[in-house]
This record gives sequence, C-alpha cells and structure tokens, in this order.
Amino acid sequence: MRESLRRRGLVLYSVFCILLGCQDDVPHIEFWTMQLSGFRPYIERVIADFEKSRPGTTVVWVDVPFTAMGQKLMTAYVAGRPPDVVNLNVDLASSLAHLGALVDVRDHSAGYLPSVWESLRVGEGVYAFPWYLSTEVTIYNSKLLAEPPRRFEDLPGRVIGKYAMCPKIGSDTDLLKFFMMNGARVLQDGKMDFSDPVCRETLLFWKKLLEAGQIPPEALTESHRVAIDLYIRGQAAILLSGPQFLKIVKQNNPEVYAATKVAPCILGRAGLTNIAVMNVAVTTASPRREDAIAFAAFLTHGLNQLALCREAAILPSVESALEDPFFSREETLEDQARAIAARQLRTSKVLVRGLKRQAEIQKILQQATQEVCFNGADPDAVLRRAEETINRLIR
Amino acid sequence: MKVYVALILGTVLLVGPFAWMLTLSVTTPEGDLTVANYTGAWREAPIGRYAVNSLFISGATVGLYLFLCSLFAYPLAKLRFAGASLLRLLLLATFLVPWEVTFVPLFEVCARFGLYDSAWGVILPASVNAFGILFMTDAFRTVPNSLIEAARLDGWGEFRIWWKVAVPLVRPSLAALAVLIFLSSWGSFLWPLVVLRQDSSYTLPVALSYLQGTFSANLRYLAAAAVLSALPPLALFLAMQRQFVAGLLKGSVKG
Repeated sequence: MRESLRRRGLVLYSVFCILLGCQDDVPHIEFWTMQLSGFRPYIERVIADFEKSRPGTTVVWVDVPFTAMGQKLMTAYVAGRPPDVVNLNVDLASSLAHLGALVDVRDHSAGYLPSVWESLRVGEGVYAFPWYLSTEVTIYNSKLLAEPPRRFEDLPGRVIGKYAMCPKIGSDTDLLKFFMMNGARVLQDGKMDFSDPVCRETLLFWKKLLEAGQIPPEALTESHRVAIDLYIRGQAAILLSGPQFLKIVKQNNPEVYAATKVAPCILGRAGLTNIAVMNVAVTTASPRREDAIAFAAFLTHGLNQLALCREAAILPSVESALEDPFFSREETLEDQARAIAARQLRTSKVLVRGLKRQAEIQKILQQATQEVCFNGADPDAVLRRAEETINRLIR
Repeated sequence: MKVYVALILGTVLLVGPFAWMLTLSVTTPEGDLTVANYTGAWREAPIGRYAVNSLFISGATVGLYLFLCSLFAYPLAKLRFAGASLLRLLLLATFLVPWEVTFVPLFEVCARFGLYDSAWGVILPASVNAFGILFMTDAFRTVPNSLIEAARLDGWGEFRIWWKVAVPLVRPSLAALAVLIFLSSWGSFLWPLVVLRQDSSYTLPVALSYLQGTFSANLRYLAAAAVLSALPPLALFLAMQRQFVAGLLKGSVKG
C-alpha cells in the first residue's frame, strides 16, 4: 500500500515538473545586460517607465555575468532563442553583426555623439545604439609617484614599489590600440597592416619596460583585473583605467585610495585616447522588433543615460546629456576623474572597431606579443606573420 | 623524509589558496578581525536563495545520477546479453567528445523539451554519463555471483536482485560517486548560466560572479561568499569521508 502511494506520488511529482517546464511564456521583450545587477533599481525604473509609455509591452530583464555573456548569447543565438534586446561591448556586437544577427538601426542616429555612432558601423549599417562610455584616465598612487608622465615614453625609469604600471598589452586587441595611440594606421581598406615602423617600435618599447621590470609579465597574459589588483595592493604606481574602477580601489584598500590622484590619460605619440563603448542591440530573431527598437532607443536616450551616469562614474553617449553641469563637477576624486574623462571625450576616438573574428585576432596578437617579449623573436618577422594570418582570417 | 617534504609542500599548495581566502574573509583592509564581510556579502547578493537553488539542483542531480548509473551498470557487470561489448565501446566513445561540443545541441534539446529556464534543464543533462556507469560497473563486479545466483534460485527478478542484493553491497562506491558528482554539480558555472534565464533561479557559483560587478568588486565579500559556498561540499565530504575512501579503494585490492 505504502509502496503504491509512493509510486503515485512520484508520478504526480513528475507530471508537475513537466508542466512547470512547459508553461507558456507571456509575450514580452527579453532584455539582457552585462553584469548590471548592482543597478537593479535604475534598470527596473527605466523598464517601468517604458512599459507605462507603451501599454501592452512587457520587458523581462535578465542580467548575465560579464565573462559568460559571449557563451550564453552564442548558445542562445545558435539555438534560435536569443534575447530581443542585448547589452554588448564593441567586440561582441561586431561578431554578431557579421553573423547577421543584429538589426540595422542606422536611421536612429539623432542625438548620439557622431564619432561614437560611427564606431558602431559595420559595412553600410549600424548595428547597435551606443549606451554608456568610458575613456581611460591616469589613476596614480601619489606615495609611489609624485606626478604621472604625460606620455608613455616619459614613464619613470624607477618607481617606489614594484611596477610602474600593468598595461593591458596581451588581452583583448589592446596591442592594436597602442599601435594607433602611437600614430600607426593598422586598419587600411579592411586589411590589417603592421608595416609602419611604429608597430615594431611600440612592441620593442613594451619589451624594454618588461625587461627593466617596470611592467609585470602578467601585462602580456592577463586581463585588466590583474592591473587593478596590482594597483590595489600598492604594487603598481599607475592604473590606466576608466573612472568607474576607482570604486574598486576604494572598496578594497582605503589606504591606497587615500593616496590616489587622477590625471589625464598618458598619451602615445599621436595624442589620442581611446573610447570604450557599451551598446544596446536588437536581434534579428526578435518577433517584436519594433517594440525592441523602441526600448533600446528609450534606454539610451539622454535623460536615462544621465540618470545612469549619476550612479556610476561613466559617461553618456548622447551629446545633450554630456553638456550637463554634472560632468564638470570636481568635488570628489570620482568627480575629478569623471570631469577629466568627459573633457577627453571630445578629442577621443574608438580606436579599434568593427573587427571580424575578434576573438581569433586577439589570440594571434597575444601570441605575437609573447613571442617578441618573452622569447626574443624578431619583431618584424613576427608582425609580418601576424598580419598575414589576420588578413587570411578576415578576408 | 623526502616523502614528507613532498607531502608538506603538496598540502601547502592545496591548502594555501583556501587559507588565504579564509584570512581575507575575516579581516578588514586594516587587518582587524571581522565578520562584517560575511554579513556584507549576504546583503549584496541573495546568497541564501542561491544556496537553496544549488542544494536542490546538486541534490537532485546526485540522486538521479546514482540511480541511473547503477541501474545501467548492473547488467553490464552481471548479465550476459548480445551487444554488451558494443554498448561498452559506445560508452567509452562518449569520453572522446568534449563537453563544450555538446553545448549547443544540448541547449536545443532542453529548449524543445521545455526545460529552458527550469532547474530540470540543469539536472537532467548531468544525471547520467559514461564515467558513472563504468565506475559502477567495476563496483558491481566485486559483488559475489553466488549471492546473485542464490537470489535467482529463490525466484527473485533481476530488478529486485539489483535493488535488494547488489546495491547495498556497493554502498561505499555509491558514496564516493555521490561526493564526486555533488562537487562537480555544486561548482558547475557555465551550463546553469546558459540554461537558466531568470537570475532568481541561478546557482551559487553564478551568485559569486555577481559579487564581482562591472563597476565594483569587494574582494573580501567575494572571499566570504566563497567560504560560505565551500561549506556544504565540505560538510558532505566530512560526513562521508570513510565511505568515500573505501569506495575509491574498492577493487584496488584483489580478494
């Protein structure tokens, strides 16, 4: 008797679970963000405002950890279940645009900073709305360094502490960024070109600093998190980073934070600084495309961007928002950093953009940098080989 | 002597990171002892809810895994039937396919069966695999044939023999497998993240990644949350330590 009851219970439980799994979704726009759960009240407020302005439309928000967005999105895309609206960085947006997965929104350019809008162009189309921006400022420990240099070539020969800085040479496609900051035009007519002697000199410059112990070997292998970590532990005198990362320093080492000052970004020979862009794209698979485009435009319009900038030390991509007096306030360290970044924005550019096969290019560049800096390989030969491999890849 | 030095070095290497994490979790940036990192981490991310999700998913995975793997393994070890060798070969072949390769097809299957955004989408794909079946096949081989024959003579069916005679005798192997699978399920990050949509149904490793936000990352909170998330597997291991070791050694000494 007891056995039979147990069996029936098990069957009922299984049916319940299957029904639970099969329940139909209410029609909605699915919106994915890149690790913004810390801004829950803000995002929920924007969604509520949008739903109020467009009755009958519901937005379901899903926050995805930064490091897992690529994998989760690609799996969902291949399986035909991508979100309707998704927050992407330039690399991911470019990869998806080349796959034809994003909607062309070129007719919605009004109000955005032209240089930022253009950076999202892939071929003829523009495949995302620019959202929040950041430019690097020089964050430095005044106990280890009296004043930061204005240019990379003036980096001090010796600093108090272990390293001068930990530039991100080996991860992402930042090597291209450093080439461009020194004036090389590495992307010409859709082809990679490392023949400019500036590329070779840039690579050898970082090699010299590595050999002198001014930058750690991790600069060639690890992500930006290591640079932040070294700065927090007082082992690096300079952190080149967006102002938003000051909060991490404050949270983890108040002593280092107390000694921290900010200055404009250290420049290369071309005097350019890079803009990092976060954007919002609409997927072609979305069955509610019009609503999705309307939501992406609503999320990125001036007032909503300004409200987000008040919660984190980031910059808006809309010209009218950038003119707000908030961006010239200099009361706190974060304010100062934000003001410097906002001033820089007018003369900055998105240096690396719209690359096909970004992840593979990143690996080729990382390998090339390591061959020259760790193994002492001939930079000309390594750069030539890297250029050929990349051009074969993006042909 | 050399052995002891090697063992001590090995222990330091293994325990070192955990000790560092533990120290970080109970100190302030100034070096004072505190529990504020634990309360802070609890406040920043709903660790309790994620822990319940993780416990449910890991518990159900282990239960199903032990049941299905031992059910598949018993005939392979104790029954003679046509195609047994081919079946074994096919099982071994699954080792050649990396887990990542199956990601997209598995996701599609889960989506079609309505398992997307459901805890069962995490549990079912992990509820049986070749490793568990082969591990249990080896365990069932140690069960004396005479016991099984005696049960058959008494008129017992194979399912009843499996459940009443064979399974109780391989309990240490089941315990060892339970610990291994619990640890793997507890620490699993990418698949739960891909198949679960709502953040309210995420598991603990995903919650840990949330403490490392885009614009903030309190390493002490992260360490405290990591210590908390290590407690259930640690408790399970301590509770089953004897059976775990006995299970791993089972079959290593020929009787």
